[in-house]
Amino acid sequence: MSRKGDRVYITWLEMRKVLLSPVFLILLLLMIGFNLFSIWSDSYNREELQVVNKIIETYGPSFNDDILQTMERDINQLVIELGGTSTQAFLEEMTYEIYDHASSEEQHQIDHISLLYTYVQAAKELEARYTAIDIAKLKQDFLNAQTMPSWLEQKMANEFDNWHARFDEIVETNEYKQWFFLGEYGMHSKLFRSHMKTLAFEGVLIIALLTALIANYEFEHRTQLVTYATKKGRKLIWYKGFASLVCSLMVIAVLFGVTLGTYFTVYDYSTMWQIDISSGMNWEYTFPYITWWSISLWQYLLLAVVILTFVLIIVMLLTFTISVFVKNSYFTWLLSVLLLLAMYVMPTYFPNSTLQWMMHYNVTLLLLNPHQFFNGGTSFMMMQYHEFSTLLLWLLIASAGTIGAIRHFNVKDVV
Amino acid sequence: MLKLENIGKNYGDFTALTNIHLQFDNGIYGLLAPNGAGKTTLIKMLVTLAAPTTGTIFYNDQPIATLGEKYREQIGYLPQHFGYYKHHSPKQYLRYLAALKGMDKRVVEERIDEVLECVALADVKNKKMRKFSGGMIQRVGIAQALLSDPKVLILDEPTAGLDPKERARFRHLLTELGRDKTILLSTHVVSDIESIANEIVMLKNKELLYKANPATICHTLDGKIFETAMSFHAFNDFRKDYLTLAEKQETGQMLVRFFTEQTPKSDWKQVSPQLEDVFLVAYADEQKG
Repeated sequence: MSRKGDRVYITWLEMRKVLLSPVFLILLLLMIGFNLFSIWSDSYNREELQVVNKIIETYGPSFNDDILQTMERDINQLVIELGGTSTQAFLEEMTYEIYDHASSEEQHQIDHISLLYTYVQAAKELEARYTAIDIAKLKQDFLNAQTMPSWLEQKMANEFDNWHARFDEIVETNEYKQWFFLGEYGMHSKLFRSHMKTLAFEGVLIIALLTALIANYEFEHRTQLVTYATKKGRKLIWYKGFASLVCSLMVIAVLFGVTLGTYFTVYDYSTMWQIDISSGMNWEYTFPYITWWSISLWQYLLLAVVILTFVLIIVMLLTFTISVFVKNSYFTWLLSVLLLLAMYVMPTYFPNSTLQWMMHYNVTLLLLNPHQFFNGGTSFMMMQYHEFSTLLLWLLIASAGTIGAIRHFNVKDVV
Repeated sequence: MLKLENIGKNYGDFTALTNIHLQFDNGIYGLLAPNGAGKTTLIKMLVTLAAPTTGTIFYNDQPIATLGEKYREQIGYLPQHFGYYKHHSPKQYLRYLAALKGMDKRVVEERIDEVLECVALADVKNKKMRKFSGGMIQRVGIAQALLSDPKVLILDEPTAGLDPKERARFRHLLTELGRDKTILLSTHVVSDIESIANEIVMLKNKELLYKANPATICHTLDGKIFETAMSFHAFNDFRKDYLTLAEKQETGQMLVRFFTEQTPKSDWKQVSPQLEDVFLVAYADEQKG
């Protein structure tokens, strides 16, 4: 067998150790099962949400005053077909008794009119709502609330200024005037805050476990004396590292693929892939999503998956580093999870704003906030390149840790 | 050829071995010492699982630390506690180890069959090992040590768990292999090596005690091993004053084999020292300890 063939074969044998592990397989199936159940059980409004696709198919992905007027006329025409005079009066007079006496086809039409009207009204209100947003005041409130050294204060002020410029751009180019699921449905949160965050946590749990299982396998099966004394010997640790990486990517592909595949089968986003995340219709809470760049839904989804994949690779590397020193899988797994938990808790324990700012470059915050990627805001996470900087920093830390651990393993006594 | 120069090993403040000078050529070497004497530490250094604190180990005049893989591919090693994958068959496990040993895949299957035949496991080569007895597992361990046809074979307590027939078969196998290999056999079962070892290495108090052929080592006790018969009552007092090596009941009396450096008494019969005697005398203080 060629040297390359050897390497692939040994890596595959290392991968098999975890891929055939009942604990791993059961956990993966449970996670997939849970995700599918939570998607289906929460999909009662999927028919209602279809209206956005119909709007985009009929009127295009963005809107302006002319389009909204056209839509109002079209809605009014539908109302007239049902015997009404004006849309507003028709909907105000619509009681449960009237609705109940209508045929199912008429009921469907009434629902459709109601939904269209709601979207049009929401769209018409957006301009006023965006005019009311005062980024300068947000900046001042943030700077006043923190006691920062001058360099950090200046840095944050610059960030806010840049973000302000971006907000002005969104307003000037009407980037926010694009159709998307109405914010009240919380579809951005449902996808990125609920399902994506769940996926991220599941990924952490299962990838930390599989990495610990692969790395510690010899010690737990008491085969370390035989395997590490062979020709490849200590090099096996490299194969274990690579096997952990490949298995992690496979798990991410399966877990994310099945879950997101099911999600997009249940919810129809067919006309919305090009819609910007900063669409004003996507305004869910007190503040709309104001992204640092114009990012469409498919780009955001792809980038979110890429960011979480990198975070999970960082988790894998950190777990691998720990496992070289701790020879028990479950203890390694626990320590990895505790490390991430500590990263989450730590920023709140630092009274010093500089330390707080530094501690915001942590991967747990990325795991917890996929819905806020590339968004400005009123915390240290709002910085323009926060995701990129955090990933780069932790990739360097985790890689250095892994290489250090492997070097340590190469010279330490195997007992 | 394996050569150890001034080998020592410390674990923190604890000294496991010190000042070991040894040389191994082709042949069978028995490493004899009680538990805790540093046998396993010495073996771990020889198979590169542990690095010496002092000194250097050479293989064909080159430090093994420098040779790395080139040295390890010459080694076959059976540890004292042989771990295995319960859900694997011997064949699957040996395939895995063959990959780690960097064996040419074209010869792997044939070689696996050969070594499994050698340890009488050919019939169960595809059965999961979780159902194997201790003796069968030990034979898998021996098979994996032989797998790459190594030049240096290091076996730590290889006969543990083997029945007498298997032990005899194993000794015969080693005798054949010892012609063109260096075999280091660690044990505390003297009979395992007495008849087959070209040389015996004995460690005591973390240092080398003897390295010589069995006859030479036995000669160190010439004129110091005796046998005598006595009553059971007298035996209780006798054993307080002398180091007894063996005893058996015979016609209502105790026939006692013992060690002494005193002038022999008239009812003592001088006998030829055996390797077992050397072992018991050498480690008498530790046995009592």
